[in-house]
Amino acid sequence: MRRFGVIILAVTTLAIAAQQEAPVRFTNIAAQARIDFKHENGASPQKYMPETMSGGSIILDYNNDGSPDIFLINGGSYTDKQKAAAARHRLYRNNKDGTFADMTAMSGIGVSGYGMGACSADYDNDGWPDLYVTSVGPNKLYHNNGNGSFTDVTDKAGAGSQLWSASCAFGDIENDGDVDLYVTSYVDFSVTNNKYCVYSGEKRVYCHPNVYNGQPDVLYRNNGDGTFTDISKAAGIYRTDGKGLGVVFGDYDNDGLADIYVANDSTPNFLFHNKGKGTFEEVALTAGVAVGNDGQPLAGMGTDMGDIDGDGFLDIFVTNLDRQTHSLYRNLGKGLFADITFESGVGEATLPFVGFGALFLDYDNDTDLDLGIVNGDVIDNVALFRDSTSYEQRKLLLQNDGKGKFRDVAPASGPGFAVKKAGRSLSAADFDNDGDLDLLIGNVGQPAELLRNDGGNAANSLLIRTVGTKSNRDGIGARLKMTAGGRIFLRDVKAGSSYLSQSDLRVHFGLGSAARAESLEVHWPGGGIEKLQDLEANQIITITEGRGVTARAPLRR
Amino acid sequence: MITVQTERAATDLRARILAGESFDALAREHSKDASASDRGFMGTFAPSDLRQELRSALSGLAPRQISPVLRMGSEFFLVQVVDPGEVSWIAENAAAMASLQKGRHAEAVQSFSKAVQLAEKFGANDDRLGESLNGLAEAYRLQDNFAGVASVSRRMLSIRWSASSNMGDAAVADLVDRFADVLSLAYFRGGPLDQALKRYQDALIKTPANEALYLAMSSLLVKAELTAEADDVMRRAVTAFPASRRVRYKEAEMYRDSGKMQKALETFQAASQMKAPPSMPADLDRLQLSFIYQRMGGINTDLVQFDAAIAAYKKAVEISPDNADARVALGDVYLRRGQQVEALAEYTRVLQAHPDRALPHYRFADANLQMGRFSEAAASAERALKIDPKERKARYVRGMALLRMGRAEEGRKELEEYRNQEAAAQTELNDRRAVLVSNRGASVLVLEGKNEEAVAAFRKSLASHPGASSLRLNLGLALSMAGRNREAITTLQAMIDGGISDDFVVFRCLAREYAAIKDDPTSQKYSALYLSKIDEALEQELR
Repeated sequence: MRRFGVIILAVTTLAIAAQQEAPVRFTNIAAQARIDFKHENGASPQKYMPETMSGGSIILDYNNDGSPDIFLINGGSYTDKQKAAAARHRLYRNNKDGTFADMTAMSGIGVSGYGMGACSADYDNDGWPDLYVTSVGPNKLYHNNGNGSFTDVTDKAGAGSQLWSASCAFGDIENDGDVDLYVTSYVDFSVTNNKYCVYSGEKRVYCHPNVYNGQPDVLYRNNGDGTFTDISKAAGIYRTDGKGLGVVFGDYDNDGLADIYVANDSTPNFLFHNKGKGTFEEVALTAGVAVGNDGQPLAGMGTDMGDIDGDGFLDIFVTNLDRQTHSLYRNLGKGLFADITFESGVGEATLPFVGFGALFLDYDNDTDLDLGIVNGDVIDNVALFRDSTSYEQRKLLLQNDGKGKFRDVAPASGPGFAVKKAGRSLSAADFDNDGDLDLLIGNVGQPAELLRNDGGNAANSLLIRTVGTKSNRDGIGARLKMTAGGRIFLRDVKAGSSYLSQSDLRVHFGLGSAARAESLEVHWPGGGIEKLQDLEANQIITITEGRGVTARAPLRR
Repeated sequence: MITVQTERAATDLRARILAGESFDALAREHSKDASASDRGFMGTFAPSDLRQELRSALSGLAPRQISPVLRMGSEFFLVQVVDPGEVSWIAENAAAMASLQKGRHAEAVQSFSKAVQLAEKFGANDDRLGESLNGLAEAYRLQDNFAGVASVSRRMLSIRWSASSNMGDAAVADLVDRFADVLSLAYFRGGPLDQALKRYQDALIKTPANEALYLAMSSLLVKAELTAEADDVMRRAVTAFPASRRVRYKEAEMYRDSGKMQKALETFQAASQMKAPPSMPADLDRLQLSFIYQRMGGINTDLVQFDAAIAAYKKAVEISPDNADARVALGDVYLRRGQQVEALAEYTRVLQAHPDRALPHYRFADANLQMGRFSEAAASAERALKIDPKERKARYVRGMALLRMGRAEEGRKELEEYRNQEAAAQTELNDRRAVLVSNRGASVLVLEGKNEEAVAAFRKSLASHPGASSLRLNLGLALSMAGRNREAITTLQAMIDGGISDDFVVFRCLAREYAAIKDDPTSQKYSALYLSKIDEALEQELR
C-alpha cells in the first residue's frame, strides 16, 4: 500500500513539473535537415569590421510550392583569396519532409564582395520572388527565372549600391502596385582605410563604428519596368549622420502609407514618416524612438515592428549593446511613442546581452506577440578584457503576458535556446506547416541554426498568404486585422526586418483556444479592404486581392 | 606659540598636537599671532623677558613638549619650547628666505644648504627638511643652475615617495624616471616600450615605494591603457600594504575601470571588511565605507544583480545618509526594476537635502515621465536645466514631456536644442576616438620600421586634430627613434611653447632630446622641470 502511495506521489510530482516547464521547446535540427552551411567570416588579425558584422539569413518560397525555403548569405575573407572564392551564398529548397536540398549550384547566384544580408520580393510581379543581396561592396539584384535559377540583373535594374550595405527591406511606398527597396548603409570602412583599434592598450579588437563615418541609406523606387531609381534625396531620406544596420517597413500611424524605421549604430535611429507621393520626413526624435530613455543614442542593430498590446498600433523594438538594454517603444497613437523598456521587463532581461536579430512572433500561439532575440558580442576576444560577458551569448525568448510585460523563458524553451553562439540574423517561418513558427538563425563565422518549434501548435493558429492583383503580387504592406475570441489582432505582411533577415511572407496568427477567427480584414496597399468571415483555425489560407480565399490547406499538426 | 580666540579651539589644537600633528603646521594655519607665518616661532628669550604666566607655563617643559592651554586676557595660548637644534635651523632658514627675497641668490643657496644640513637631523621625512629643500631648489632656479635644481628635486622626490624602510633612497627617483619613460612609450608596445618596461620592472623589484606612489603609478598606467602593468603595480601595493583599505579600494577601482567587474566586486567586498587607519577621523571613515558600498551598488547594477545593487546602495546611505550620489543611484535601480514610486521617494529625499543639484532634478523628471506625470516631469527637468543648462538628458526629458502634454512647438524646440548638444558631444567623443585610433595606427608603423610613413601618418592626423597632444608627443618620439633629434625637439618644444601640453612626459622627452644633441644646460633645465611636474602629477592622481 505504501509503495503504491509513493508511486502516485512521484507521478503527480512529475506532472506538476511538466506543467511548470514551458510547453514549447525549440531544437536545432540544422544537421538532420541537411543544412550544412557554415558562415565564413574570414576572421583575421587585422580585425576588418565586416568579419564581425555579417551572417544574414532569409526565408523565401523561391519555387512557389507552399513550403518556405532558405537563403543563407556568406561573408568572405580579406586575407585569403581561396576562402573568399569559396564563400558562396547558399540556397536550400524545402523538401517538405524535414530536410532541405542545397540548390545553390543551379541557382546561378554567385559570389561577389563580402556578403551581409538579403531580402526578397517579387519586384516585377511575375509571380516569382526575386532576391536582393547586400554586401560590403556592390549589392546584387537577382531575378527569379521561375525554374530554380536566378539572373543577376543589378546593372540593368540600377540597384547596385556600392556602399557597405547591411539590412534591406521591400515595401510599396506609394501604393502603386510594385515594391520599392530600402537599403541601409553602414560606415565608410575599407581595407585600405582599416583603423587600428585596441582594448586596454594591448590587444587589437574590432573597431567601434564611431571611428568611421556613416554612409547614407538608399531608397530605390521601383519604376515598374524592371528598373529602379535612387530617390533617396528626392524622398527626403538621404542622411549622412546614420550608420544603418536594421530596417523595417510599417504603417505606424495607420494612415495607409508605409513608413520606415531604421536602426542606426551608435547614432539616433530614424523614423521616416511617409507623407505621400514618395516623400518622407524624419521624425524619430519627436516621436520618441530615436534614442534610449535617457536621451542617449544607443547601438541599434536589429529592429522589428508589431502590435504588442492589441491596441491597433505598431510598436517598435530595437536591439542594442550590453549594458544599454534593447529598447521597446510603445505606440501611443498621434505619432508618439513611450519608451517602456524597463517597465515592460525587457530592460532587465536584455541588459547583459549584445543583441542583433530580433523578431516579434507569437511562438506559443497564445495570440500575443512575443520577442525572439539572437545575441553575440561584436568583439571576439572580449573575454580577455571583461570577466562578466562572452563573445558567444545565448538567445532570448521574451514571452508577452498580454498585458505589456515580458519575461525571458528561453532557459526553459529547449536546447535550441540554451546554446551560446555569436548570433546575428533571425527569421521565422512555419517550415513544416504544422502551425507554429520555427526559427532560422545566422551565426557569424559559425554554422547556421534551424530551431524547430515543438509544442507551439498545441494552441490554434492560422497562416495567411496574400496575393495582390492591384497591389504588389506578394501583398507586401497589407495590414491584416483578425478578430478571434472577441479580440482583434494586427499583423502586417513584411519583406525584411530583424537584422540581415527576412521572415516568411505568410502571416502567422496564434489563436489560443479559439477554434475559428470570426473575421479577417485585409487592407491591401492598393487601397482595397477585403473582409472575410468565419475562418476555421489551423489552416493555411491564400487570399487573393479582390477574390477572397483562393486556396486552403490544413496545417499538419 | 599658537594664539586663538576660544578655549575650545585651543583645546582642540592641543589634542591634535598630542595625536601627532605638527605644531608648526597648525600654528601656520590657526594662530592669530604675527608669528604664524614663522610657524609660531617667537624667537629666543631669557626667562626674565617673559610674562609670569608664560614663565609658569614653560616651567618644567621639555623641548617640543606642549604646555596646557593658557589664558591671557581674552585670548588663549599654547606654547612649546623649541629644541636648541631647531633654533639654529629656524635662524638659518629665515636668513635664507630673506636673501632670496632680496635677490641675493648666491647667499640664499649657501644659507639654504646649511639649513638643509641642520634639518637632516630632524629626519628624512620631516617637513622642515622639505621646506629648506624647496627653498634651495628655488634659489638654484633663480640662478639658472638647473643641475642644482634637478639634484634637489630628485632628493625631494625620493623623500616624498619612498617607503619607511628606504626613506629618501635615491633609487626611488630612479624608479619614478623609469615609470615616466614607460608612460611616454605607451603606444609602442612590442618595441621600445618593452625595453622601458623591463627597466621599470627591475626597479620595481629592487626599490620599495610608499603606498601613495604605488597607487599613483597604477592609476596613471590605467589611463595610459597599460592595464597589465597597472595590475602588476597594484599587486605590489597589496603585498606591501595588505591591511590598507585605501589600497584595496583603488585596486577594486582599477578592476572596475578595466572591465573586470567580478574581481572589482570581490575586492570592494574585501575592502568593506577592512578597518580604516586609527588616525582617520570617524566621519571620514564612514564616508569612505559608504563610497565602497556605493561602488558595489554600481557594479551589481552593471551585472544586472539588482537585488544586490539595492542592498549595497541602501547600506551606503545607511552608513552615510548624506551620500546623495548613492541615493540617486538607488533610485535609478528602482526605476530599472519598474519600481517608480520607490525611485521617486529616493530622488525626493536627495532633492530635500540638495535642491541646488541638477542631477536629482533630472532623475526626478525622468521618473515622472515614465509614470506619465508630464507636467511634473517638465517642471523638474526645467529646474535641472536652470542649474545646469548643459544637462542635455534633462533637456530630452523636458522635450518629451512637453510633447506628451500637447505643447508640440515647445517640445520640438527643446528637442532640437537637445539634438544640437548631443551632436556636439558626439563630435567631441568621435574626435577623441579618432585621435586614439590614429595614434595606434601610426605607432604600429613605427614598430614595423616604417618611420617615414609613421611620421607622415602622425602629421596627417595632426592636420585634422592640431590640439591632440598625444599625437604630437608620439610624432616627437617617432622622430627621435628615427634619429631626427632636432626635429623631435622642435615638435616637443612647440607643445610647451604653444601651451598644448605641460605634461611631465613632454619635459622628460625634451630633456632626453637635448642631451642627445649635447645641449646639456637645456637638457638639465627640462630635467628639472620634469621632476617638479611629475611630482605634481603623482600628487594629483591621489586627489
